[in-house]
Amino acid sequence: MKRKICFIILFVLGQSVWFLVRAVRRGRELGISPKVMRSAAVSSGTFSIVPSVPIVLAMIALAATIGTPLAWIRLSVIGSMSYETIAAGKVLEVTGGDITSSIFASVMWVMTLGIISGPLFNLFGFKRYQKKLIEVGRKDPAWSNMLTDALFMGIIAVMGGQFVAKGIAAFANLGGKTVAADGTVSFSSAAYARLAQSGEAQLLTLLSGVVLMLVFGAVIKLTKAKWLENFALPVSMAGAVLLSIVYHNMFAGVM
Amino acid sequence: MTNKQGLMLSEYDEATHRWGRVWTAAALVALIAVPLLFCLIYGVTPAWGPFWQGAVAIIPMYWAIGLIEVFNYSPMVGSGGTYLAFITGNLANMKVPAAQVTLKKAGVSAASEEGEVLSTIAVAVSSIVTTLILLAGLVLVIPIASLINADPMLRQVFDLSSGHVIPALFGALGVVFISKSWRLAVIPTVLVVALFVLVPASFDAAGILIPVMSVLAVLIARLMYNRNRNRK
Repeated sequence: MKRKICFIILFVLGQSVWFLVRAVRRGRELGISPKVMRSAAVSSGTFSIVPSVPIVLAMIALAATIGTPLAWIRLSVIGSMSYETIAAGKVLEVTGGDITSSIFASVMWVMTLGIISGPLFNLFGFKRYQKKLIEVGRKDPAWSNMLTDALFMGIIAVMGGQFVAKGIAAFANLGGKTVAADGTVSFSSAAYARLAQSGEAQLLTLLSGVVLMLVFGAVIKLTKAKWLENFALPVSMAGAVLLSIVYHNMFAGVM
Repeated sequence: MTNKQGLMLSEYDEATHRWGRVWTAAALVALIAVPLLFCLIYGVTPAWGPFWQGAVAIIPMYWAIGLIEVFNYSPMVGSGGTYLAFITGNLANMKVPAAQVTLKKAGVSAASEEGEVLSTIAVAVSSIVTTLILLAGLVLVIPIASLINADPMLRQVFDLSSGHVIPALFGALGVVFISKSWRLAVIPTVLVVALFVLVPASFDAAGILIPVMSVLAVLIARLMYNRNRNRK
């Protein structure tokens, strides 16, 4: 078991270091200043610390049900917590939750086969697609820049917008929540109840991220402390997560 | 430089694709080896009934999502970044934002040669950081697990799919990118919020909405771009 985990760690680290070293060498060839490259590494590294924490915790949770090595493979090599849970759930739905070794094998096969389309495409078709992207980028750099911004807006709109919707559903009590005299909580709409779950705390956390980031921006502008820029995102994120503990406690009793 | 077959890639880009494919193939072999070895070593045959039921429910949808993700995310992380990120996962919640933050700071596009280098550095460092934190998590697995399990509040805050890290991330990140091009953000964000509020069941399809909203934002971008060009 330990050997399997070591192999996965070495594989992921090996691949990342390999691409990193190649990119740095290429950067030198192109005359990109070491300062710019170092700053890229620092900003990405500091940015990645906070979002990594839930991935680690998800691995620990998943390890409890499917074992540590498999959880490692599924979360450090491709995959995500929601996908793994859905995939495992679909197979177990049929069996009524009994896990025998044959059913465990079925779960593993479904998880594995379901997730490989991205890498398979990269193996055969990605180069052609990437060539097209570079062509567009060279022909019309302004449009290429705008195109990437727009694609990223899709992620921001959905990932950020969902918490605005959840907050609205929670604060406006769209789930029609009522608390009976004996303390029993009931909802008139199950779908809204699901949407509204933790909605107050999540919306406030989102807004805290916004406010902290704006404060950082103002401080950097006023004090001209450029070095703060690297910390603005990770510290705002961590600050919002810490504040979320307060919000959670404020609304935990309400849910 | 172009020839009859279109653009000629630099030697570095050609090598990136060559090695990217080698690493991808190795990762696929390693992924498939897990269930295969389990079945071979322990002499287990999968239960075919549950397998097919699960496969029919999962594979068509996730194959489509996987393909769309490559088309949607790779322009933001470059070719080296794509090969790496599609093996190490966690794209929308980490790798893509990490690359975008880095590129924005340097003021270069992912399609440029400099952007290719910087986005690869960003994705590689991001993967290394996650792996190191996972490693620390493994060493501390027992204390952390018991700490989190003992405290329902911490368990909720750090839950990957319904916790508070993702809203914190996108709140802070939203400021950076929406302030840069808010006109691209308004319509997709308002639509997403309206859709979820009016049709709460659509919340389950949040993942599928990302490419839809990306396409919408691209259309808006094209309209704005054409209008600006005509003015000039």
